[in-house]
Amino acid sequence: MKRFRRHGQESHRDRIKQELYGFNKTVEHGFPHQPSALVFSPSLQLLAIGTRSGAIKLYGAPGVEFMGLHDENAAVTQVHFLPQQVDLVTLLDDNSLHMWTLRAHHGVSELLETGRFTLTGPPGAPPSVTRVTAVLTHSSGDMLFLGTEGGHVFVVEVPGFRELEERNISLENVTNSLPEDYGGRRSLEHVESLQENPVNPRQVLIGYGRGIMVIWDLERHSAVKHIPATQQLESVWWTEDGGHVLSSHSDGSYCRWMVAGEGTQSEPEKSEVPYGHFPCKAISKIIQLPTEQGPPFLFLSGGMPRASYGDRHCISVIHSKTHVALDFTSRIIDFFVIRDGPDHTGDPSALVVLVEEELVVIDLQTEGWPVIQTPYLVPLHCSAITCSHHVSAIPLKMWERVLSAGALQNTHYSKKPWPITGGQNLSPDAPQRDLLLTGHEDGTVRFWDASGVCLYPMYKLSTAGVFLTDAEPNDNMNQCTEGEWPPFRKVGCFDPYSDDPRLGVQKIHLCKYSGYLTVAGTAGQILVLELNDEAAEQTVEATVADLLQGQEGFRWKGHTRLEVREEPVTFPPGFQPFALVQCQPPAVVTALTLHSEWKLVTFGTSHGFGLYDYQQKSNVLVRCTLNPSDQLAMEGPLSRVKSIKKSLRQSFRRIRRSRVSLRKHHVNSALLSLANARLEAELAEMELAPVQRKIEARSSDDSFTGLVRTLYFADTFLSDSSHHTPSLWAGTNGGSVFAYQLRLPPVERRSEDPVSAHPAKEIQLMHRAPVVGIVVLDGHGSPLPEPLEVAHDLARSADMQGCHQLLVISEEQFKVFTLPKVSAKMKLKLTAIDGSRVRRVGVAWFGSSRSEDYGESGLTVLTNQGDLHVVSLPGVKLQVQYPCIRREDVSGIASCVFTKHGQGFYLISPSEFERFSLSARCVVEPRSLVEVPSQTPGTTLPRAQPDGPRVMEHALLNDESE
Amino acid sequence: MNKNHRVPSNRSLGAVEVKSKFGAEFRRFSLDRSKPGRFDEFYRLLQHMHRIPNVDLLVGYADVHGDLLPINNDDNYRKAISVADPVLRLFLQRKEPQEDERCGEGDRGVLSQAASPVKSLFRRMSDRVARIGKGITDPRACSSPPSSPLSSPSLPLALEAACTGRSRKLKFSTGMAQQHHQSPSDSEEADYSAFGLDSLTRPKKTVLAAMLLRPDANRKKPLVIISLPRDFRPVSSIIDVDILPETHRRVRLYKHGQEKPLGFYIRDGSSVRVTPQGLEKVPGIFISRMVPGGLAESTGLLAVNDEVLEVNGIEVQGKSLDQVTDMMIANSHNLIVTVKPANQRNNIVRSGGGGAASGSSGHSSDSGTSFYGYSSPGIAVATTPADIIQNFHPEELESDEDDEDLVIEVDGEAMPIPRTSSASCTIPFIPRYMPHLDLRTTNGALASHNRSGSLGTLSTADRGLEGRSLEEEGTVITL
Repeated sequence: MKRFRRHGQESHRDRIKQELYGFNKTVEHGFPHQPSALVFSPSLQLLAIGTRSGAIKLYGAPGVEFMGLHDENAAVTQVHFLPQQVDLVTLLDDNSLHMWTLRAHHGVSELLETGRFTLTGPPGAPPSVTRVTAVLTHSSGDMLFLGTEGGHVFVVEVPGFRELEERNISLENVTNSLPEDYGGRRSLEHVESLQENPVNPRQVLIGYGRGIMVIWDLERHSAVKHIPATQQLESVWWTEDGGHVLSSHSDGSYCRWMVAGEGTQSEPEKSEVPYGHFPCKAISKIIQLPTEQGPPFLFLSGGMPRASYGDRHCISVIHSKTHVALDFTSRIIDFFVIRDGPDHTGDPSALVVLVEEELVVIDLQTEGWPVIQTPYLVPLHCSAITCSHHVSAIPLKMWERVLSAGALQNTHYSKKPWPITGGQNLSPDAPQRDLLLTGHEDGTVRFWDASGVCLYPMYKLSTAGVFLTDAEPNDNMNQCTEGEWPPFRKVGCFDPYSDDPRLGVQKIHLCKYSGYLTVAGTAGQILVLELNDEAAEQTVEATVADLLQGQEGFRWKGHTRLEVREEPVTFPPGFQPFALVQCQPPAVVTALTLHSEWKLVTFGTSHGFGLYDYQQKSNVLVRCTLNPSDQLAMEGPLSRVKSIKKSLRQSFRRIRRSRVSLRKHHVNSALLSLANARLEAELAEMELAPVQRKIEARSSDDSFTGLVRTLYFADTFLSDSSHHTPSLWAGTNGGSVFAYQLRLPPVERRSEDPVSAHPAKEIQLMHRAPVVGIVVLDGHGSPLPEPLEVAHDLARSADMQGCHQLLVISEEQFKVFTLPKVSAKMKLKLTAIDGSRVRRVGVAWFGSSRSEDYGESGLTVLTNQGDLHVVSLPGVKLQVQYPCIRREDVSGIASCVFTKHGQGFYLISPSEFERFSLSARCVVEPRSLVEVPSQTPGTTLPRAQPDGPRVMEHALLNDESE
Repeated sequence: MNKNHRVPSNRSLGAVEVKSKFGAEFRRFSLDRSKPGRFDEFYRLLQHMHRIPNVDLLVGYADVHGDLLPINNDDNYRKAISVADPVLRLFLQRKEPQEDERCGEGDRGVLSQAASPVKSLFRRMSDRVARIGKGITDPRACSSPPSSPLSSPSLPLALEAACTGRSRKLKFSTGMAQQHHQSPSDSEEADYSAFGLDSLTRPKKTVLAAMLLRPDANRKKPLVIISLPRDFRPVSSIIDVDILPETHRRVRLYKHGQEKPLGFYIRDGSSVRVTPQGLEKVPGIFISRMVPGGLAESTGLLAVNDEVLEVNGIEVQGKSLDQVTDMMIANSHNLIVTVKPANQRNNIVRSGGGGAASGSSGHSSDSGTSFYGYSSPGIAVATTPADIIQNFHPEELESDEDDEDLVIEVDGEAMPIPRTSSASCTIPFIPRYMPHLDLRTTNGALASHNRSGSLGTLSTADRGLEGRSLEEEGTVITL
């Protein structure tokens, strides 16, 4: 009987769990890693990007996003939309073709793979015969022309990928049609380009690698015309009126050819090397578009003088007298131009360029061709992300202030709306305003609107202005001297080089009610900032916190402290720094917490922790946690645990910096050789040592036991059960917890009377595992509210009647203690049971998906195995477990950040956040619909008529009517 | 034979300064070096000085080497007086009723139970030893009796060999068997063992302790004090013999906060499993290396290339090397590893244990041949599996370990976190004297605790933490 009831309870609990928890990876924010192909569908107004990892991503209007992944682990080399359809074809590195479609399902479109195809040549033919190098989707919408390395053109019917062998244009057919004097003995090489005549779909131009272009009549199955270009061919563009063909070549030249009449033409109408005289690099792509009135736009990619600017990544835009060489910071993948008008045949309105690290859109209709800010595909990594912090449910007032501060920073952007508008965004409005803050290596903090599907940049804060660094600001940006040739203009914001690695942001904490922000960095600097709507000129007062407290025998071998600017600095509206603490030694800040109600900031490094009163701008407490025998921590940066990659990167950075300013860094070469030697030693060690692990209990002598991992403020019963007092809790790598009782003066005397801190408790966990989280639970067993949360009526005030409990989360276990007398009450062991360790932990509130008013608090936990757990509070019981990140993906696991409502983010590449949800109620995922373009008889009618030529006539009619 | 009488007093001073400590209180007085008197007079004097006339005391003193030695008869009393240089530092402890230590943690109870057969062995030995070494009371004072059969090889070594060789089930390793050296944390049990239990009333045993301690005459190493068998603690054991397949061995390593490292490494490897489809190669975890002198090596129960099957009852199959490493480290204070030994020849044969056991003892007793005759009756007892094999109880696993997080309340007391769930005996607050102080480091927490001005002596059962620091009224004894 008892057993029965128990069973009943369990199933009841299971049902509740189902209503509370559900795991979904919902959307990828940021810029796809290693993009390899780009295409745009004017009819769908959708942009598609393929990546080297085989992903394909579609973007339309903000919020309209689709993602697909090829099963093959091969790079996407080409993507093509079928004209007037919702289908697209991808070509992969392994020579396979894939058909994708957007299928509506329950009112929401889904991207699905519907077919795959690999070209088969005649038996015994070398693989090059079928190796696809050029793809043309015919305007009829049911034929693909596939040009191959062997010089053949295969015709395939789509969808369904049926080879139409009788229509293939073999190399022999073409060579036979060539007059003797053109063909010569040499091969024509591969098919470089396939272009359809914009006014006559029966004609297709085949451009061969060696330079010769052939216009082929599909109906008569014969060559119409030969264009005898002599240079290696890079790309071909057929002008809209069908009268001219532009070809670009590997020597940096482009030619214009007249194609109107029959017969051959021996000379180009025009031939030009735009950056001429000296040898130039290839022009890899050429586009020419007409304007209603006036000269056409010409777009050229590449073509720079090889010797002087061969390393630039440029697209030249030439319109009338205006000639600009847009200079990008990373390699150009591809570009296209968006045109005005209902049929997208009007004036060019925007140039969209996909470079390796970002997407840049240039407004071609506004004077000066400004950049249009992208609502998605934002390069999160324009400087490497070093930390992130999420704040849920921002009050509207605060939100607007951040937005307006951000708007002032974006005045250089075009006012034009986002030109890509395909699809309908059907996702409901975000239930709340969420901010994601990312800290970067160059000392900036970026604020992102993380409420919905689009991670939209709101505001950027730079902390570098407070310090003196040897970087000259804007040394090479936007410095356009008169008469310079080529006329470069820097565009894009991807700038991975940090001028001073000490500026790197390591910890961020924002109070969403008061607008106080604290930002801590690599060189032990802690800035306290306040949101101000006006620009202000002020000096930032620096306080030094000596965390060693006279500890003997210390030799810091790390970087030096940052130098603070003595003179007042003008800060623009937004977050303005007003106080600075500098830790001594200047080790990286490992923990940081702000309490805006008490006006206190606490910070920790590998040496100890401190408490700073930012109202009075004075240190309240400094506590050294260093074990005197811990040589590693004494010496400085975590040199020996540094990854190879990191040290490599730093070596390169050092080289770069030493090149930049040789005069200042004479020591650098010595440093560099030192770093190199160490790197070599590391590599050697890695190769020689067999993979084995030492089994040893932790001891107090281990390295970095004093490193402060977590800091926490709580108003709780620290010393006796009748009075609750403010308290500060710190947890270290060595499994110690320190508790301090804080005495705050009354509010009216807050700025005069000192704040004091008294040691109250120390707990040494027996198992000595690093303490990664400390939470105090109130009488109801729920976590204490955030500071000011109650004051803003946004949270139920904590229960101060019942007994408070202390939850200490170590890497190995969750342990609940009673308060004020600390005695163990409950625990949950993780590592001892399954060998995983806690890497990230957050407190979250899970609402039931079925009943509006039911919810539970829980801990969201990410382990070093990449698994997500939810642990109940206050009972510390495992609720659910989901595999989330590959355990080898260490940086992904380290980058994970949880929201207060059971969602989270982690980096899947340096530039992309994956968003996931553990909550059944709170899910942010893209829901959008893309409809088949209205005027698409081509998609249905031709298939009804199996006769090929008539199909094309029909298509021709359609094209003409448009 | 008693060296005491031959030691010439090289002290010219006539008076010995005595500093006696009981609890937190000190008394200072002086004695005439030439006329020390008798022990029982001295004992009453101490009771009088401390105003504790009815309290049974254990009296100890610190010798020049920093060792805590007992004073419980005239001989060692005289010795103590003679070596005082110039202060005789006495440490008094309240003698506790014996039951106290029995009702400690379940763990300990089991251990002492397990040790009982060996205890009987000791009893027998002590009878013989007592005959030889009569009158030797101060271990420091007596040199090794040349005629004693115990002098070579050393008794502890022989004892270890005998115990392990016989059964391979319960094993004592001498160096660490005596916990008060390395694990001062193990509270009052250790205090008793410092003297030998009941040493005041049963001098015979002390004699034995002294005898056991005798190292080889030519050994240069510092003397090791060893106490009575009941105070021995196993460092490892084989458990669950009755439920495991004979090819497997479940080994429990008792770390107990001692200095000795666990001392082994694990690696990835592949093993062969028998499946219905035939033999299948599967990845496995293996012991790859032993640290010389480590706990794992000294037990002899684990060896290189043994396959690790379980860690504290949890299968490791399907887990990565890192996961298994973390699991072992998380359980390091009480690690139970189930292995499939690479060498399957020393497996325990369960049925007909008598014959097999004695067979195995035969070939492994070589280290203790001269002692073999003495120990054989005791070992006969020890081989009875019922007494020794401890079955693996999960709750026992839970009970012994980590609810002993140390909490320091800054108003002066340091205490282990009491366990709210299980009954544990309260431990009287006894100031202790740690014979082997490792001065290398004091734990950061404690050092700062000290710095903040709070006094109080660390007590009790947190193993390891206060291991190397000792506070005495704010000063650390440095010896």
